[in-house]
Amino acid sequence: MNIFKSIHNVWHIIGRNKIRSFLTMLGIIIGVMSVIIIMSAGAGAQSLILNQVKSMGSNLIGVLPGQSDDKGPPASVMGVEITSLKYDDIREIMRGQFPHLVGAAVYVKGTDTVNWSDQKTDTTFVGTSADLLTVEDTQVSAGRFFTAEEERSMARVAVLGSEVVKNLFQDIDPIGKQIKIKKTNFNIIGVMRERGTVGFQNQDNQIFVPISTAQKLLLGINYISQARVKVDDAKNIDVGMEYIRMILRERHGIDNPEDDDFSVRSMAQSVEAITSITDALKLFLAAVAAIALVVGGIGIMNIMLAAVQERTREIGLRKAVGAKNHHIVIHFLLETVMITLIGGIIGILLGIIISTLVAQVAKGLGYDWKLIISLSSILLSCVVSVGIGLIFGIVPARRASRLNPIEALRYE
Amino acid sequence: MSLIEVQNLGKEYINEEVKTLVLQGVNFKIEKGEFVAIMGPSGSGKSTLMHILGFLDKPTEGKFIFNGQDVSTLSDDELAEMRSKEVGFVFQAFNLLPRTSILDNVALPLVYAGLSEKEQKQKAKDALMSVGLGHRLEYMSNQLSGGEKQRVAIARALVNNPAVIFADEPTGNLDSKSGLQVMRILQSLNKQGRTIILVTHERYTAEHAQRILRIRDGEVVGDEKVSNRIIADGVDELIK
Repeated sequence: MNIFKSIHNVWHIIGRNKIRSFLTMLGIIIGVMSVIIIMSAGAGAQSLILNQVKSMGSNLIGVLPGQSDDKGPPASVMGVEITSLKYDDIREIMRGQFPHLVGAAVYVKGTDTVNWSDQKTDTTFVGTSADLLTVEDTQVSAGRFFTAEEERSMARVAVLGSEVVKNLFQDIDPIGKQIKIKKTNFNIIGVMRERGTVGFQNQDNQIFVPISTAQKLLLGINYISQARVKVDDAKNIDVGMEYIRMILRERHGIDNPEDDDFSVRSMAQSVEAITSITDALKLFLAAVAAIALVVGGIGIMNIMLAAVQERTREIGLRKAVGAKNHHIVIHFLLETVMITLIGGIIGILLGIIISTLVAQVAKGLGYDWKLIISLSSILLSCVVSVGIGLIFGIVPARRASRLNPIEALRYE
Repeated sequence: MSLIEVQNLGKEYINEEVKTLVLQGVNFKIEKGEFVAIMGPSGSGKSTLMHILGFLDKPTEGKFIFNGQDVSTLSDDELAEMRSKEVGFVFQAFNLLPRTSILDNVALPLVYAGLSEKEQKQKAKDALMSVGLGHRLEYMSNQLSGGEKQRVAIARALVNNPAVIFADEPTGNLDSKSGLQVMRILQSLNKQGRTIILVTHERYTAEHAQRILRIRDGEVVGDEKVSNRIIADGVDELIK
C-alpha cells in the first residue's frame, strides 16, 4: 500500500467533512497556538529584562540588606523593610583598601506628587550619591549632576528624568526652576539623558536628589535600600565581592557567613536568577497550555471512535476486498495523525501571527521587545501534534481493525 | 480437482453460552467455471455458507478445500490475503464508498493487493468498461442509479481477476430492469469462464444459474441442475 496514495485518500476523507474536521482540529489548534504564543512571549519578555539588566554593565556588584541565597530573590524584594545597611558601610568599602573599585551608588526611594507652579506629576524620587553617573554608565543631557560636596551638605538640588520634565514643564527649560517634593523646595540643576524602562521601572520618570537630603528631609531614615559598586574590570568581580563581604561582616560584627544580614551579588548572578525565575514561569505557562492539547487529543479520540462506528460498513467492505487488520489500523491512525498535524500547523501559523502582534503592541508601548519564535518550539509543536494523533488515534484504529467483516457489512 | 470442495462442513455460534447451529454436515463440490445458486429462505444458513466460501468466516467443523488446499483453519490475515486474491463480492446493498469516484471504488481491492497506482487505474478502468460504465469513471458513487451502483460493485468484484465471484442477493435492491441487467452481466462473465456463486431466496433469480444448491435449516436439501435456465437477454441496449 503506497503511503502517499494513502495520505491522498485520507486527505480526501478529511475533506469530505470540512466543518467536522475543523472542529475536531480546534482543540489542537488552540493548544499549539497557546504553546507557541507563550513560548514566544516568554522568550521576548525574558530577553527584554535580561538586556536591560545587562545594559547597566557587567562590572557591577549589588549590595542589598537582608540575607538571601544565591539564586533566590533578596528579602527586600518581598517588601520587607530592612534597616541594617548604612551609607557608612559603603563609604568604608570605598575607602581605598581595595584598589579595583571605581565607584559606588547608594539608593533610597520614595514616591510623591511633585509640583511646579500649577503643574503636578506623580513620580519616584531617588536619593543617591554623586557617583551614580559613573556607576550606571549614564549622563545628563542638560545642566549637571549634583556633586559630592552637595551630597555632604544636604543640598536641596534635583536632577529630573526626561519624562518628569515633559510632564511638568512641557517645552520650558526646567534648569534653575524650583519644584516642591514633600513640601520641600528643590532647585533643578540638570536633566538626565533618556534611558527607557529597566526591569519594570521607568527610568525616565524619576527625580534624583542627594542621598543625605532624601534620607533626612524626605524620608526620615538613616539606612539605604540598595547599593551598587562598580569594579574596573569584570575579572575582579569575585575578589571585589569577597572584599565587600569581609568589610560588611567586620562592621556588622558577624563571624559566621550564615548569619549575614546583607547579600552581595554580581550582575552575572542577577542575570542567572532572572533567567531561572523566568524559565520556570515559562515552563509553567507552557504546561498549562499543554493541558489544552491533552483535552484536544481526548476530543479527537472521541470523534474518531464515533467515526469508526459511523463507518463500520466501510471498514467491513475494506476488509471484504482484502484489507488486513494492519491496513485498517494504519488507515485510521493516518487519519487521526493528519488531523492533529494539520491542526498543529494551523496552530503554529496562528501562534506566529499572534506573537507578531504581541511584539508589535509591546514595541508600540515603548518596550525594546524582540520577536522570538524558536525553531525548536515549532518542531516540538509538530512532534507533539503527531504524538497526540498517535496516542489518541490508536484506540479507535485498533477498534476499527478488530471489527468482524461480516457483522460490519450487516451494520445499519 | 474441484475449485471448491466442502466436507461435512459445520458452523455453530456461541452467544452468551447459547449454542446456535447454523450449518451442519454440508457436502458439495463446485467446479471451475460453474454458475451455482445457493438458495434458501432467510435464516437457512445460506449467507453463513457464502461467508465461509468467501473467506469471511471460518467453519467450526469439517473441511473447506479451495483449489486443493485445506483452508479451514487459516488465520485472519491469511483469510484477508485469500479475499484479496481469489474472490470478489457483490452485495445486495452495493457497499460503495460514498463521495468517492467510481474509479477509486473499483480500484479499492487493488490498493490492498499492492499494485502500483498506474496499474490500479488501468485495471479499474478496464473493469468499468466491461460493465458498460467506461464513460462515467469520475462520477461520484452517490450520483449513480441503483443499477449503475450494482454494476460498479460487479466491476469491483472483477477487478482483481478472482477465481470466484460471490453475489449475495445482487438484485434484491433493484427494479426488475436493472436486476435483469445485473443477471445478464453475471451470465456473460460466467460465459467467459468465471465461476459465479449466487446467493438468493428467490427461485426466479436462482434459475439464472446452471445449478441450484438448496439449503434449509443449515443443511443441503437439494442439489439440482437447472433444466429450464433463464437467460437474461435483450438488454444489450441498456448497457451502454
